[in-house]
Amino acid sequence: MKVEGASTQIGGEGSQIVIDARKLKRKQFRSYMVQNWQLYALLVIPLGFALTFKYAPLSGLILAFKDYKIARGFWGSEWVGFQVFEEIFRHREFLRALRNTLLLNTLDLIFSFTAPILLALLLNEIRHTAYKRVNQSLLYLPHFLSWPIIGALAYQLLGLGNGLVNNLIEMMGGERIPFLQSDYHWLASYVGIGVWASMGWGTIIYLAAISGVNPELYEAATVDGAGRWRRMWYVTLPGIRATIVTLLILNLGRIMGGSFEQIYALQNKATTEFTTTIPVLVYRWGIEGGNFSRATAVGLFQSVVGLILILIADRIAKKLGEDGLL
Amino acid sequence: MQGSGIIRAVHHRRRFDPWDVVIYSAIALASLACLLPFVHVVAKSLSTDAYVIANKVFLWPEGFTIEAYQKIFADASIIRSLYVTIFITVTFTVLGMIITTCAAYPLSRRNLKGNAVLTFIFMFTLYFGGGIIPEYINISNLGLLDTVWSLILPPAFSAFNLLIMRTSIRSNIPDSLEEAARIDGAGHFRVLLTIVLPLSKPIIATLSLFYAVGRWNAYQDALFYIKYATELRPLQLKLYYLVVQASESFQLEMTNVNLSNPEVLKASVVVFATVPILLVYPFIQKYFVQGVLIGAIKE
Amino acid sequence: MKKLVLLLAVFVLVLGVLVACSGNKNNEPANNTSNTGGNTTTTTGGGTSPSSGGDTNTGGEADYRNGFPERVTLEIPVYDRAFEGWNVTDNYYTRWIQKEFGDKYNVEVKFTPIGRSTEVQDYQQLLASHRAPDIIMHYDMPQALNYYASEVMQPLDVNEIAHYAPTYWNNMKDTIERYGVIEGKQMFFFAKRPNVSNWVTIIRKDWVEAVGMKVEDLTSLEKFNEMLVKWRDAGLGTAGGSLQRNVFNYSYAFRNWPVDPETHAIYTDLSVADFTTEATEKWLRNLNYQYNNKLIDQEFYLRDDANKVKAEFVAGRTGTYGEYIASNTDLFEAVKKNNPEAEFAVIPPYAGIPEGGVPQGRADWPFGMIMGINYESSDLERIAVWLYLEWMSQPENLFALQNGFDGMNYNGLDEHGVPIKNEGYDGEAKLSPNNNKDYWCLVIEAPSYGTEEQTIRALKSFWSPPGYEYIVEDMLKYREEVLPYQYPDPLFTVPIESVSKYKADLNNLFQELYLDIVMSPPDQFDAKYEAAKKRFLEAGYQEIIDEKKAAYDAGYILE
Repeated sequence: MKVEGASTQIGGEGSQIVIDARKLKRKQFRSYMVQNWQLYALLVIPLGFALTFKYAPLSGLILAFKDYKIARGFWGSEWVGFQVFEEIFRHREFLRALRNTLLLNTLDLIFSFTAPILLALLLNEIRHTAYKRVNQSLLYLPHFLSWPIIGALAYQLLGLGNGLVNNLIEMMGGERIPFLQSDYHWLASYVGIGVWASMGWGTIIYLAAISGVNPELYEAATVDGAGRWRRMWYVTLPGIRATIVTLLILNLGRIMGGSFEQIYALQNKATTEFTTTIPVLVYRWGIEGGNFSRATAVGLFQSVVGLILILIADRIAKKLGEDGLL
Repeated sequence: MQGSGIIRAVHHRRRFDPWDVVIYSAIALASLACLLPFVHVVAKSLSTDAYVIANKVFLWPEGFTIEAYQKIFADASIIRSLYVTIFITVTFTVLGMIITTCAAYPLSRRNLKGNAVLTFIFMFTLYFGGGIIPEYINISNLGLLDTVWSLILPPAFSAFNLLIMRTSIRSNIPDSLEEAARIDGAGHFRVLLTIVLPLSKPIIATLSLFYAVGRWNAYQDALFYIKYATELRPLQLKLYYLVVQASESFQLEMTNVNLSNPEVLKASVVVFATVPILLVYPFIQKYFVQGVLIGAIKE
Repeated sequence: MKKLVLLLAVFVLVLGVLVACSGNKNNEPANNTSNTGGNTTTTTGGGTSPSSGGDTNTGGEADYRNGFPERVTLEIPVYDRAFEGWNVTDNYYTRWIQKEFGDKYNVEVKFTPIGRSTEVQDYQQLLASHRAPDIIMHYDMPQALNYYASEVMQPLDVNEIAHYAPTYWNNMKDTIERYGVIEGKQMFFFAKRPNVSNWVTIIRKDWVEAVGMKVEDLTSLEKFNEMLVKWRDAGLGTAGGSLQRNVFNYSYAFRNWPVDPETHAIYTDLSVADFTTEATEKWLRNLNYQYNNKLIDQEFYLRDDANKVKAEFVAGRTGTYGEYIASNTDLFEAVKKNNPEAEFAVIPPYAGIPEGGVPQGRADWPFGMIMGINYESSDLERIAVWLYLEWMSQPENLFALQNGFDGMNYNGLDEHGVPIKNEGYDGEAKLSPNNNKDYWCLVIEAPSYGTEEQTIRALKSFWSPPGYEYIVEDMLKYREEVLPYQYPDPLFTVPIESVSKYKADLNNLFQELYLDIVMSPPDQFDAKYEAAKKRFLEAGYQEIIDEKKAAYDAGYILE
């Protein structure tokens, strides 16, 4: 190329190199745009929506640094710097809430994240389409029950005094189990119910991903003598690995979050070791207490931690050869 | 394709595999665990208040009555709100899918300049939010309060769905396909329409389902955004109010207040709101099976 | 790494731009409220009686008692309970109000719906976007004080109220001047609350008699507990129990009489439990005793709403239950369906009081709805509020709103002056399912039919389920008995900041601590209670006590 040739000329021709290099870059850019402008055109719509509806309210984040008085609005309220954060971090309940949040979300990640994958893999093994379809529909049902209903149901079944399950256990000569009324039991029940509530609906995405696996790969594996489980391990799983990684990273970003509703529905005031989490504090301070500054500050904390975790996870994923998020 | 067709062609005589029994039973057990609670809710919805209050209802109605459903249908505006909800859900789903696709396809192109920045900008919205009050002010400033659009436009953009779709496109649609088309002179719009979309049917079906069900179930935003235009209240919101109003104890209020225990009403509300989705789902299930990979490129 | 930095830089830039832009947008108030100079500072402070017959006005010489020269828009909040088929902002009665009031005074009356269960959030959103109605209202004083502390209300001039709303002022003068002054400024005005209440605690009479006792025998807490032991031994059931939540009036029964005003002022608070007082200790000991001896619902802490408590009573597992009784309550039927042999009686008031005590209790305030004027309302809008209240205070207008119209909703009056209802009337003048309460609650909390006796007589029929009139009779009889021992909450004339700061956390802590104490073996009681008191104090209660004491000593309390 021309530039190659120009590089052999030294001295006064140095500037020529730079100019030619820049000209080339511009040319490359132009040809890139000519080829790909449509991509950017497509992006205009989503960007517009994101900016108008997601970014515009972000100015509210400033409340985390202010002593918000409704009458003074966002900008008139007094600036207090990190005072709100100090209050939060020094709060008696914060440390426990932090521990509980991490504990519950990690357990959630271990169990509720993997259950749908396993279920999807099993569902994939079912040959009878009718059987498969019926079961799928049934598995989705818990998704349509709201947490208050699930909570009431849980106590009706697992309650110590009158729960159906405990009544059966007693009838069979066993001792009643405080499924929801003793700390560690509560933890196990919480996780178990969480799995039950989300495993069915979660299979949808994995089944969709499985359907995208090239069937020839299965053929090849079968011809090589691979049985059902080997096929699952060497064909199916790698085929959906990208989806799994994406979802995993996205869920990691929620490690400081969690469902307030799920806790609220399943908690009771006598079993309180694990039931205070950060979303609970946000509700208590924000909605019950009306302290919007504090709620915003906690939210900001959650978001920042989540973001950092995502970026780290993304790097790790990339290092392991995955696509990652960014 | 799930490989089932192909494999059936290869193994036309199946040996009895004991694992089949295990797997089929495990699935059945899981389904049962999911079904029974729902049956319980249905049973409650058809029972007499007194027995439900005393927690005597399990899988079969006690004191069979359809009073709660009659109460729901007694309100003529429920039907109207059903129409409104369907309109909102369909519009929302279509709009959401358009936005998602318009973002997912470009971002799936690895050589897109600024890919990382754009992805970051989108993904950022997943974890950072202003809070209820700033969001309300925003909707108010945009003049969307008391319109159906307040329920359609703001949540239409979903970074989560976007990223899922981008991943799906990258994994399932080989670059070679796209390259082949581009070499033939096709612009990106064409590639999107003729290659990517048809091959993405499963993920489009999936995300549409997510959009639709998400919109159908949620009412928290309608609770605050639809105040004056009561005829625009979506179904879930109306049902929520139905329950709330039955639960309130009207102190010092006089007669004409129906103090029925809301447990039965709550149950029937759940059934009423869920059944439409359950009826629709079987029809869209078939889109989850991908079309045949036409003219697969020989590697 | 470089990419990451670039990413963040771009993003911060974008964010900054957006923040700057939306900042300006938020500063402009929406064009709904006609803002003629927001806050008017009043010349007279609170507590001065209006000059007789005077025409003193603030802000100008114009007198609007007959209406406004130019149309004024009045925005009135109304609870939206989302009754089916009822549009709170546009129905027969809103149109009637516009015709009878609005058109006469040249006021456009608009109603702003406020969700009953989401009201604070609704108000916050409306206030933040400058679309809040002219009246800011709430039933509870602590929340009203919160609104005051948020600076969303403007100070009032009582002379102005007296001038434009003489009837209303006459009815409410004492209440407004006594309870509506905060930090020296008149901030609140009120609706009247007649002294009527329909709360009653029911007991299973058949159970009482099955163990050989009579309901009248329950003259003290000790006797009541004795009966519970008998219930338990006979396998009948337990007393009903529920989770103590933030309406903290449990300690009244355990207090000494007469009450020391300072103790009452500092410790009695509906929103924060007086956890460290002797009365609470006695209450806890009693509960601990009842729980450990299986005399009370063993899972009482799961009963965190009225329906759950009711479920236990209806199922026949517990023998006591309290509710607000109304003529169409389904309680008795439901219990009988599951327990056909059930019979009911009202628990005598002394049954919850330890021997030697008197049935102390919380007396309701003489006011119902607490209201303030939006800080963004103009002078004319504020005056329109007074005219509106005045109009609604006229007996004929109030009667129409509460009962409807003769020949439509009712046909004539009976000998007590109570309308004879036209059951099943379904015409256009149909009242809302709660009898339009959400409209007339601005002036009065319950329907009134003349004097208090007449009102009670009328309400009796509304409260009594057929066949159970004796329940209501007993309820009223007992209410008379305990009247001398009922007294209202203390009211400070300054907001106690530490209460709003800590109450949410303290409530949670209280529940955790008290449950732990109640459900432990008796020998651990003392140690646990001591430790719990310390924790409670450290979590903010000490601050609250200190602040209240300081306010009390400085005289910022109503006597």
